[in-house]
Amino acid sequence: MGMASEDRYAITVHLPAGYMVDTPPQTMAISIPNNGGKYISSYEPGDNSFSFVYLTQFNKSVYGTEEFPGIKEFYNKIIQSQKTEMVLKKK
Amino acid sequence: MMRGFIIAGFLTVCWVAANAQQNYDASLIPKDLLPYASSVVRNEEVTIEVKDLDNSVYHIKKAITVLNKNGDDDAHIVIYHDKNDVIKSVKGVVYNQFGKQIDKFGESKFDDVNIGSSSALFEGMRAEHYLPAVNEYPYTIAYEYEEKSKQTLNFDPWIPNADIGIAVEKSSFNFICNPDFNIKYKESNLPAGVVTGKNAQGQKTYSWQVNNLKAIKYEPFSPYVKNYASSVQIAPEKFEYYGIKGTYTNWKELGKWISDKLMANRQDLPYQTIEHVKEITKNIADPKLKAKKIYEYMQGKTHYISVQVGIGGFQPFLASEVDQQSYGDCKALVNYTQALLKAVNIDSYYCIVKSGRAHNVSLLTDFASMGQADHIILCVPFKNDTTWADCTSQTIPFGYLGDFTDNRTVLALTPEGGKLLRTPKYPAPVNLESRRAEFTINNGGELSGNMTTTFKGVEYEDRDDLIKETRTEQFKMVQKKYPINNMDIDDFDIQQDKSFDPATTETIKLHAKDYATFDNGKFYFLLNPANRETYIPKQVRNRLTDVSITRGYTEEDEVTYIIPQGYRLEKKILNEKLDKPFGNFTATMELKGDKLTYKRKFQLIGGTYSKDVYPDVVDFFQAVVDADEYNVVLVKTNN
Repeated sequence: MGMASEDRYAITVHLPAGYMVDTPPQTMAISIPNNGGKYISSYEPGDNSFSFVYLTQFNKSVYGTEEFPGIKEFYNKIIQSQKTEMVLKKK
Repeated sequence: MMRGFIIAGFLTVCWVAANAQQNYDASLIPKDLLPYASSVVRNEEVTIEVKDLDNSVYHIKKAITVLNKNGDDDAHIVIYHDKNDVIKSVKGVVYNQFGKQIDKFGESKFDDVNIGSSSALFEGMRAEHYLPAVNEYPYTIAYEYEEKSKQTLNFDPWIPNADIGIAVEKSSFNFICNPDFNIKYKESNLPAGVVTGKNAQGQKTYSWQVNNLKAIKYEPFSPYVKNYASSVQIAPEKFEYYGIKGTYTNWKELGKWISDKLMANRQDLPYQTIEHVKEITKNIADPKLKAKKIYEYMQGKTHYISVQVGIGGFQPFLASEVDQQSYGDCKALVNYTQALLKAVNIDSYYCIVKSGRAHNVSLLTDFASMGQADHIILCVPFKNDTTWADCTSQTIPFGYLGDFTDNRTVLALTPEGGKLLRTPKYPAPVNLESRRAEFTINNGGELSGNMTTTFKGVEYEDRDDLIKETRTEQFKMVQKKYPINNMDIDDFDIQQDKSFDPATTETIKLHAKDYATFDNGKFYFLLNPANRETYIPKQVRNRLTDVSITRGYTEEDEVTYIIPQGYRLEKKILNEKLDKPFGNFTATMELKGDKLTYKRKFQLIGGTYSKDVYPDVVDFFQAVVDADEYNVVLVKTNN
């Protein structure tokens, strides 16, 4: 990985008037075994808006070969959760 | 002792004084030269003096300011040399952004490297090169060198703004020769033409100069940069090439000279080889199939080593040497193949070409000169069926040129002299990548099935990188070629049909867990599994160049999915259709029962289009990328 790292994104979206969230984005919290890192996403509905925050954290700069399957599955889960769609609908 | 000191001191003063004449402070660069520039040529003086037919001298003086790291390459000094082109002197100075000297260098700081392979057939073709190690921008490098060449057949062209991102404050080119040495010259994109005159020694002088050339900016799909850069090319009328004299005024005469003087008596083969070639072709009646057999024999016997035509000399090595050593460069291998074909009475032409995939560069029809090409290919003029071949590959089919030398004007050496011919064009429908896949997605979201892809036309070579690899390596490489997460290869096969309509066919049996995501009672997955376009050319304001698509191609994908039972499509289905002069695209989907069929066709059509269509090109790619990202949503039916 080169170095331990943390990426945090906070996105706030204001909706056009007359729309509301029908299906919110999937939220989840997963981790790499042995305190290797974590991914957390959260969704917060607001007044004609919503915010989505996600965080990816790697605690080590080097992972052992035995840890690779865990990291692969970690990414797999993240990609899967980001493939789902959120749907807006008219109020 | 004392005297020596005084002279040395005096010379040092002169050197400093000579350099003090110009101030290379980067802030003195005219402001209108800065847009899009990575470097600025402050002053360049290129002089070629022909002292005699076997003696020409290059004097290069150049100062270039590098504005950012993209311009570092423009400050890289590369001087080719061999025993006939000898470097006489090199010296230079490096300045910081204020024009203050921070370093100087001589020839000892240059690295001298061998270029091409060293082997028994070749003597050292070498290059001296130097790149100053400066990491504060801007900086300026001012240098001067002299090189002596023992020939007058080929002169380096003068191209002051040879690449994108180079602005030119001032550059001049002087060609000096004796009154009886005649030249032809080709000027391209010059604001002012030649100034001719006579110098004090009574020699003829030809001078060109450019001032304040703005940098050419990068634009996607732009034509070959040298088509709109400023340049002068020189061709001699009477010349000497390493002891061989000649004259030419057109391609026919130049071709004749190459045939007579460089190619003559170089195709003799040992008796056993001639007999062998006759033996292996004796049961083949069709001359084209005979030639194919011989070409394949040559491929199996030899391998290619790199020596560029312009540097390694223009004369091929003897066919008998290639026969014995089993290797050669492009010249040697074409000459050898010609000799083998001659053994069974098949005539062929040695053809001189400018190679390159990004652009099809033709020889200039109205200006013959030696320096325009860099590669040799073979042409076999069967009646009504002119066939072409590149002899440097051990694997490509006979009759196949691919995108390295397609669709361009080349010089063929015929018995009547040089003749300009056109190599075949591979149009969009011929360059085909066609894919069929039959997949099943199970209740756990796993994808499995078979995918077969056929590559034709210039796409034929698309899988060449993995064809020679071991099976284990192929599995790994194929995995990287497709954007399917968790793709596991169960079986893989690749076949090449080397007929006159060649095709590469790849078959993959695969599975990929979690291809579809299950969440909240719905399945989500990407409709286009294997061939998603991700490139969108960037917006360009005030585009200057035409839109040039070097060659077109076609992609056809048809994918079926058997989806878990009891689901229906939730979203509006994909139905995209675009039709533009430069390309077209359709993508559709249909669900019948549990079978979802996806069809996609993408075609880009080669050609040159007005710059005004460029925004359409951007929109076209944007729409394709959007359609390729279509996410299928399956929701459970109520019954």
